[in-house]
Amino acid sequence: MSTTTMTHDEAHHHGAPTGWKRWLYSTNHKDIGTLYLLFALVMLFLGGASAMMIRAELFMPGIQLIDPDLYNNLVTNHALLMIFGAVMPAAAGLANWMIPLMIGAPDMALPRMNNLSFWILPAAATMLILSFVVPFFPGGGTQINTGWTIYPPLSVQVGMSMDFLIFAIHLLGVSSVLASINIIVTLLNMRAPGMTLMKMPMFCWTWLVTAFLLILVVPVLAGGVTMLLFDRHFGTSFFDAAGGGDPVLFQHLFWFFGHPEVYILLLPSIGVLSHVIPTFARKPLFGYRSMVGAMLAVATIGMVVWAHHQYTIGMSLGAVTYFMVGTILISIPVGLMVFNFIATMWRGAMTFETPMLFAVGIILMFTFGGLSGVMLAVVPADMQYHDSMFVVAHFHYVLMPGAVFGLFAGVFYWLPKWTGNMYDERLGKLFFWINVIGFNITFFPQHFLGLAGMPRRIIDYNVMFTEFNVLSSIGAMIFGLSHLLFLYIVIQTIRGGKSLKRSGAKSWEGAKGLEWEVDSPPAFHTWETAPQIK
Amino acid sequence: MAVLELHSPGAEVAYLLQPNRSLKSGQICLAGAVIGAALLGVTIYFSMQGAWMIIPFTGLEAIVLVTALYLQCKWSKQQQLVEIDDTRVYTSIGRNADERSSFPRGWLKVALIKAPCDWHPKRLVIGSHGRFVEIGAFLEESERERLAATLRSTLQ
Amino acid sequence: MCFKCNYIIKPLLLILGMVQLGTAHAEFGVNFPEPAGELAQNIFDIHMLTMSIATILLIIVFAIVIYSIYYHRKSRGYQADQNFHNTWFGHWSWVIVPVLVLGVDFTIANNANTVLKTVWEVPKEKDIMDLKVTGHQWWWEFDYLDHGVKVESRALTKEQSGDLYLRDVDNRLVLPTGKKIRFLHTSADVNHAFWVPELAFKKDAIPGYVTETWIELDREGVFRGQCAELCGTWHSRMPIVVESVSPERFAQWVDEQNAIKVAAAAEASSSKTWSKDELIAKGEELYNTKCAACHQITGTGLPPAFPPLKGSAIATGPIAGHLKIVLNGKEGTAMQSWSSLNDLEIAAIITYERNAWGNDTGDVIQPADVKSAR
Repeated sequence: MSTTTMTHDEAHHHGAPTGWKRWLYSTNHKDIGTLYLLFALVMLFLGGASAMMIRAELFMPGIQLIDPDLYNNLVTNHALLMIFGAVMPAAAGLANWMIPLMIGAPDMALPRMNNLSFWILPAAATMLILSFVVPFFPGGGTQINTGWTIYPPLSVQVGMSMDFLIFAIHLLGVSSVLASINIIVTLLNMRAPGMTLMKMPMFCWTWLVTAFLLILVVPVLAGGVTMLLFDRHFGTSFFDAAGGGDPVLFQHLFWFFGHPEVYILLLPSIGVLSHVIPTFARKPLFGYRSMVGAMLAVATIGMVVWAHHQYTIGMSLGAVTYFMVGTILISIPVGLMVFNFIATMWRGAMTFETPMLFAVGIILMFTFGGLSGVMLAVVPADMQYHDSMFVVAHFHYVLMPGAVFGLFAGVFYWLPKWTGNMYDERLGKLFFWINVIGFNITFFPQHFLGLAGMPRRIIDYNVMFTEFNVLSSIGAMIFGLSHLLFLYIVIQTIRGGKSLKRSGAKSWEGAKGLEWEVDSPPAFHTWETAPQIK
Repeated sequence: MAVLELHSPGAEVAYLLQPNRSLKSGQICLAGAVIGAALLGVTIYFSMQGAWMIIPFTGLEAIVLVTALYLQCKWSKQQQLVEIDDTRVYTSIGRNADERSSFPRGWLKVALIKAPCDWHPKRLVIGSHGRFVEIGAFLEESERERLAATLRSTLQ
Repeated sequence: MCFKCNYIIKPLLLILGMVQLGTAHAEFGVNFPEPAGELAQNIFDIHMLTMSIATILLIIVFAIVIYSIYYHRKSRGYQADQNFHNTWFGHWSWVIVPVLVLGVDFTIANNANTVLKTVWEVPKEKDIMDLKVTGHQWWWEFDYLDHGVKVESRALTKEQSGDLYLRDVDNRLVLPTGKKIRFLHTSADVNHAFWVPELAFKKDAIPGYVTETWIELDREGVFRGQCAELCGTWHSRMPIVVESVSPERFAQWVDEQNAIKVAAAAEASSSKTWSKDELIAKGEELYNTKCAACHQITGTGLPPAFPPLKGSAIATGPIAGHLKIVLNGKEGTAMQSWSSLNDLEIAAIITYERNAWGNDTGDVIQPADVKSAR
């Protein structure tokens, strides 16, 4: 907003810094969105590597590769890296890139805060990785063997790496809260003239709700882990039964955050789908209003059913009945969303480019995960499923299609917009098929493992569980390695080259919306008769 | 209203530039109040369960939220006016025309300066004789390009 | 070579077996095992009901999507119906779909609610049998409150249990059929969860909490389960084995247990002065079952979580300090108080620890020393 009179020298040199400083100091939403996406990509590979270690260990019964504490440490880190490192930053990256373009705003509302909320992330990731490696140094204490749920009293026993983890969670929380506030403010007050809330693109709506959820739940987690920190070091007993505290209180605080977190991961991808499916079905989104309503309902109900993650802690009959009914009711808005997507496809003129393939895959697999979610919501049956491999299968079926595949769809959908190059469609389709087949081989057998009685988070299992574990591990290797192809496609598209087609302003035949009216990449071409000040 | 063409007396044409501003102040207060109320509800519920340590976190967050809304509101209220008459071009910045400059119409240059990076926004400056004023920094890229085109054709 | 064989070749053979020969079918389950009581049967039924509903819905969704992606594609020349969302269906689907889903939800919730009440509310009967289940890192303690019997149940090693490794224990949880049993779950250290699929419920053991569940077993048999809540390093080594027996056999078993207890108590309280060799022999056996999970049979521990005893300052220092840590445990670590053991057992363990693995202090601790230290 330099509005003062300037000389023409100033006009020349008052530009953005170049080189690494450009990225460090950048307040440009496209730069920051790119940084978010790259960060998420790195974290995806770290989280994926830890997942492949886990599956390699579970390949056969017995303890072959890693010791139990390291195994539990990997389980903890896999969850945190994927949730806080990969999915949330990737969704925030899409938001940064697309929201200003979609609503016709020049940038995010608070560009410098935007810069801050990204640059906290590498610091947080460093903390998170330190929490993983510190135990390997002399005097580093024990490894985090609690899982990402960090339930006390187990988490009170852990050494100093738990403190690193707590600070990492604080930093990640600060980052996502700042990003959320920025997005809310942008969406509220920076829409182009004529764009009312009910005309806003769905992706913006999903992020508005996501940001709202984040603002409400993150401080609760921050408070919870701070109380844990006090219990560990300052002699309080918030969660220590021996000192009059309540170990279950932490579980409530954690899941009050943890359950809405599921929707935080899910909704941005639902937003992506709401753009991808109409584009490739070549007809408008079916039921825009009911979509918005369903999303608000999901967010509202999702806030108040957290204790279905804790059916086994011995709540009163009234409490479990409430949480059961509430949880089952979530199927109504979620069902409506899935219905709207199918109805958008219905009687469309569909083509199946990579984003659309992912979208169809999401509809089918997410429905599957959602239905096993209804099974888990039923308290008596959950007495069986709880903490078994069935739960592991369920939430991977929800989060992998619901969140990660949605992000893949978004990346393939908008990559031509960002880079100006079309990705290699054949490779994209190949990636989809390997990815989805690998995913299903990995997680489908885990349902059976859970029903047969295998608990989750165990390093070693009885021989009766061998067959499905072998199958699952083989699938995991396929699934994990397929992401190298993804990396290749992304790098190839960014670099461009003769083999790739250029993308015009409108990368897809059926694409609609403000973001397709600016060039690809946005602001790339020089204004034809732009005079230079000499 | 991003770029508004005005026909004020005494000038051939005038352009009023304002950033997007989709809510009225009252609506913004309402939005802040709704979020704040939800946050307060969560805080009270968990404090009564014994987790009073979330109070500083929700409190800080509320402060940041209100500050962000306030700063954005303030930012969105800025405006710039470009008036063109037969011989001169006047720019005035701010609601009360806090900074006014004028340039001879015949010598006026309208320039879009490219940023070092392709996807960064270009900057629109007008001026002459080594004195330049940047206008429309808060506009969206395509609006700025359109404004530049309009100004050039008007000035011809 | 052996590693390769076990880790790479065997699984591949297994997969081949699954795909081509189907030989392994008997070994792996794909659904819950047969329930062992009416309550468990009800839970099993509600599981099957919701799973069937879910399967039917899934088939419907798949069918519609597959139909749509086959017929409504551009390559078949299908023209997009731009006004589909403006038909009556488009206008009212936001009512129709939720109502249909609500109907399904109601069916599920209604059935679940009936079962839930019976599962949740323990029958208020006087002669219900109370069983206190205490989770420890990493073993289970079963306290038959009505019979004065206490059972400590620990995982067996691979050599001892063979194919049942991680599903087999030294002392089983023996329960009678045809009697209502109330389980009271709690924990001595961190959260655990009691899960035996045939009994069809899972309940967390939380320190400071007592949670309850109940069951009436209706068939005899051996049912195996595991701890289901992550409880630290050896979470995978907390099996539960329930042996369901006839009431007569159960009464007999209780008598046997009581006889063993009386004998042990008599031995411990006798004023006999024990010789060093006797104590070490007894101590080695006790150490290997109770202490070796953390401190290891070789006494080297698993630092940093579990410190070594071999050459440690406590095991070779003053006897009083050693007694204190065994009797009281160490705050904030996995080391719990062992004061529930009798004087003789503690004396034997400490004598063993102070003389094994080159800790040759030569100290002999008598039960009387332990008694005075309590």
